[in-house]
Amino acid sequence: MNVIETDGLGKRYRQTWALRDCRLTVPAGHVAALVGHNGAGKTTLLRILAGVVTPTAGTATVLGFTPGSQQARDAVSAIDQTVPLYRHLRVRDQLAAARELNDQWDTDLAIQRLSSLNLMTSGKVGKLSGGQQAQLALALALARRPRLLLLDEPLASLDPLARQEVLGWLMTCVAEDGLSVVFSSHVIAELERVATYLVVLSQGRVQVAATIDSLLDSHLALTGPAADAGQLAGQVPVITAQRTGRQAQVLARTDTAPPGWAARPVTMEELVLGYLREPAARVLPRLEAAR
Amino acid sequence: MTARAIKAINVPRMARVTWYKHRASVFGIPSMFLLAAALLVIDSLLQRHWISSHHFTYCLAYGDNSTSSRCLTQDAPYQLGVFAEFVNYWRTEGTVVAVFLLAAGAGLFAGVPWVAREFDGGGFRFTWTQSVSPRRWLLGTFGLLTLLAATTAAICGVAAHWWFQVAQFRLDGGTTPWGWESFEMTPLSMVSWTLLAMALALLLGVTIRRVLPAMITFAVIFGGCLVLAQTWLSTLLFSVGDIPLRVNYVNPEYPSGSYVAQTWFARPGGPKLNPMTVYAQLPNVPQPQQVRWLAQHYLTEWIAYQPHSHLVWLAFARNGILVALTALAVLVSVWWLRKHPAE
Amino acid sequence: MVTDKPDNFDDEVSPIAFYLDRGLGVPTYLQLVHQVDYALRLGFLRAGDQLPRIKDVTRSLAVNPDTVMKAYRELELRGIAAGRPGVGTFITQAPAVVGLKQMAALQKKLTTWLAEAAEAGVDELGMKALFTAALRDFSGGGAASRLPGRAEARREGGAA
Repeated sequence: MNVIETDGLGKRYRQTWALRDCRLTVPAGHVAALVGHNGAGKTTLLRILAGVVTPTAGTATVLGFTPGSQQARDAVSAIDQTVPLYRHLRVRDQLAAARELNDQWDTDLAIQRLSSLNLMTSGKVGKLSGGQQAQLALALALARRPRLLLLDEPLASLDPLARQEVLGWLMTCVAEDGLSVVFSSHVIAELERVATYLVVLSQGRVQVAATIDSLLDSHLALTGPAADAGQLAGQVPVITAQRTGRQAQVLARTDTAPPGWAARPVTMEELVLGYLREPAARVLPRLEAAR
Repeated sequence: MTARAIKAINVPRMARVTWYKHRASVFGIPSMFLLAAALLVIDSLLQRHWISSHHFTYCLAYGDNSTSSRCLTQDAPYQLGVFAEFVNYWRTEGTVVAVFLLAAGAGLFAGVPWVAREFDGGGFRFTWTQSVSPRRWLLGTFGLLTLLAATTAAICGVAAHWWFQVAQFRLDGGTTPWGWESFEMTPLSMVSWTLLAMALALLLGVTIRRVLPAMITFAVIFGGCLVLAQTWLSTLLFSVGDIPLRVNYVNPEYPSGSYVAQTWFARPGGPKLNPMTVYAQLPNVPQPQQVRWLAQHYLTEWIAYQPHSHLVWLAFARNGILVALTALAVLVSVWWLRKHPAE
Repeated sequence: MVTDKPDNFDDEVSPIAFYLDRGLGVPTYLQLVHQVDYALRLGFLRAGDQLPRIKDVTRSLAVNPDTVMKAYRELELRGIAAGRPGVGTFITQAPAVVGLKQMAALQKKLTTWLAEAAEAGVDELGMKALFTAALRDFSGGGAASRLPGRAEARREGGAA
């Protein structure tokens, strides 16, 4: 069962395509990280999946439903980049409104979460700090008991301790409720720890879409003489190669080191940065199947 | 609306959401209408007190169809002089216009921002991702607000109608039941205009999605509707079902309280002639000789009039048109929302 | 100042708690495996002890539950731990510890090698590099199966 399936998905704003020919399949039970340059289309993709933007081309389904349909809205929670809330309401009214707007609502979870955050229920939502608003939005999103959570960098405004705590709580929900998560992130360091699936968007297209385990298994960081770097491309698929003086550092998609090259397992950071630097390189599901 | 459809919208829940989210409008709009109603009632009580303390009560036949009162004539200059104190054209006309514009105010300051701000301020990205469907939410909350507005507008309309019964005499020269003031100072008219205002607010909010442009567009379109209703629509409507009558100068036959929709001259079997051209040709002589002149030229004067009994049907028709436009605006809004959910 | 680790959740069931070194470049699950191994060798963990519950680890470290499961699976494959459904994961046996006498003899051999290297002019960093390279060759090459614990990992053909 796939939580997300898109085919030829595209969105055009005036003259530019924010998203183009996007073909993506994210299996269930994963925490998928969405990575890409600013303007690569992450927000657009997440908004289309949330049902808040209508695509110009192609199709998308979430949990098998059309985004924006009743079933999709029941089973999917989404938090936009702007952390939308009713800012002129008091916290307790915002909570009450959210409860009324949803058929499925876990009051205990919402209250427990808010009290653990020490949010004054009589204060106005608009007066909360950015981080507190993000925490509130997250509490509301998860009180709906969704099967899929879409997050557009909402943790950016959290201080490091809060970020750690929220991620811990999210991971618990993943463990206990089988929640699937798709989140966009700039913090590559936590991807390996938190995510199990990686999607890299580049210029509105999907560049990488694979499980993190398979990516780490299928890539190596090679070190060798700079003179041989050119030949290497013919032997193994090279993602990026950096020459410094006499030595070359290469990121290659192979699981055995070619002769003359020292290999070590690649870190998540190197992998992501490598693909981001090389927009032409691709790791897509059909290649996975071919292997 | 069937009970099942109401249940589908889940009125109690949507009512609570409206209360949480739009307390200002929920208080503001009804307060506006009820305050206006209270002021009208107080003003009318003062006027009625004046009338009775000056012993004019028997002159003004309340509920009568015309302003020609029974005792205010040129033969009673004393009464006319005292009554002149009562006449206050601008204040009365101003009050009528103010009450008339209450519906526009509700739509412009509460209705339009209500919907447009949801888009403008990004709140829709929250609302559109909850379990409630955008349609259900809009109709449920905005619909409840409209219901509240219409109800209090009706109350205000009743007060306005009661007030106008006496206040109409303050309009120097008086007014007729066919005048625009009489037409609009009724609960039916006020409710219809309020419904149309809210529906237009919904439509513009959903299509334009930015607060200030939507408000400006609303002011232009609704203002245009208000004006058109008094000019073009009235003329059109009042000529529907009018009764032609050949003018008999000896014994005018059409009943009092009627509205003369058209006048024309015609020769037997001939086309309608513009009365202006005929008047231009009439010699400047006393009336009996003019009548003879007309007969010599085979010209008969005709009028088409609306008897008073038609008034209530025409009022229903006019307000029915407003309600029909309301329904159309709502349908278009819902359709538009489905086609363009967000961006 | 020594503080007990704050206990927000249920009482800790395990004698040890995990930590993560993000800068290490070692996959998270392997870090957990190594920490268990290390704790066993130092005696913080004994046979029969329970390992931290998966949900406690995911919450405290903000780590994906799959990663913890992978680590525990690896421990099971190495024969160190076993899971009891509904209860938790428990240490079954301490790793075969090499005899003290043998350890002393090995250390003596090492010291000899270190003296040789120092005489040849190799400094501390150079010694570390030599050792690391040799270890990598040893575990990556045909002699892999000789290292205890690697046999099972090799059979599996890579991580899940």
